[in-house]
Amino acid sequence: MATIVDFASQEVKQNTQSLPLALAAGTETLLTSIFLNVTSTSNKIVVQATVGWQPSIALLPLVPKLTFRIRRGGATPAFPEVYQTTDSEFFGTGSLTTNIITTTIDHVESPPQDTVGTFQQYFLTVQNNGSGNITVVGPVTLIGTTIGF
Amino acid sequence: MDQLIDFASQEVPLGQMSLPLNLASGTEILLTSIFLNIANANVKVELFAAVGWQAQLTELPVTPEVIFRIRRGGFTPASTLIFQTTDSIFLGAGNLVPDLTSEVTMSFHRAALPDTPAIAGTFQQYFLTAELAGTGGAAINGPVTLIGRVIG
Repeated sequence: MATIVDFASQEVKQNTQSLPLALAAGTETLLTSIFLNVTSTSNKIVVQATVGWQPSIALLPLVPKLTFRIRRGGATPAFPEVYQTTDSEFFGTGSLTTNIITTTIDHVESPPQDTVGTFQQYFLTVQNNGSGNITVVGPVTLIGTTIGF
Repeated sequence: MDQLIDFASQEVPLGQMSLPLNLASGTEILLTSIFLNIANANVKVELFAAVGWQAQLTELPVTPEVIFRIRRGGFTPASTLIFQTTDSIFLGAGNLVPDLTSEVTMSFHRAALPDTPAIAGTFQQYFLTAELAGTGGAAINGPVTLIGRVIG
């Protein structure tokens, strides 16, 4: 039987705290983080996130892209990247007024030996990697579960 | 109190192992699979999947679609279909150089009783597959994540 060893979560609703958050092109930006207890190399660390974001569509055509990362130990490129994916929208020529996207990710990993017996901090970051400006409008939700066996 | 009876997961990071994997139209291909303990006929089988994929932008306009399925017991159309959804992206007209790629991330969650009480008391293998439909090409870039939980 599997057990839930630890659970942690953060949620920032739309228009609260730092949201909406305008992203500078090319800069990796921290959204939120959680701590999870790691008790064994046989654990599975599950990290799930949902983020609402909005490209600026002032100048068409463009392809806004947002790269999502989960890092362990810190929010900068110096720290291990345990997950990366990109979501994008394709805006051809035409006329648009607004476009909001919700991206959801699921990650799972087996913890490294040197993290056993510690609480590890997992960071959700985003980076604007395409053309045009992007705003994180929220919500930003980060959920973590340590599964033990 | 409900309990976590079983948990299983697989993840292939972006660009690792067989990724990226080009999709051929009309052919269902296996992405990954997990085994889950179906302890009894009243458990809930919960599945989470997230897949990064990429549309090919060679000839616009196109609307590539990727059909994602969960099958049980095998990954061919002959196997039991548990869940199916489609993700797509509309690639309209326009000159998008130098943005020659369009990466998107699809995810889904599902939960239901076992599809038949006959599998109670067995370990069952659940397969995540992808099939290209629509117009234009697509590839599975990764990451490919499949997570299963049995709650009972």
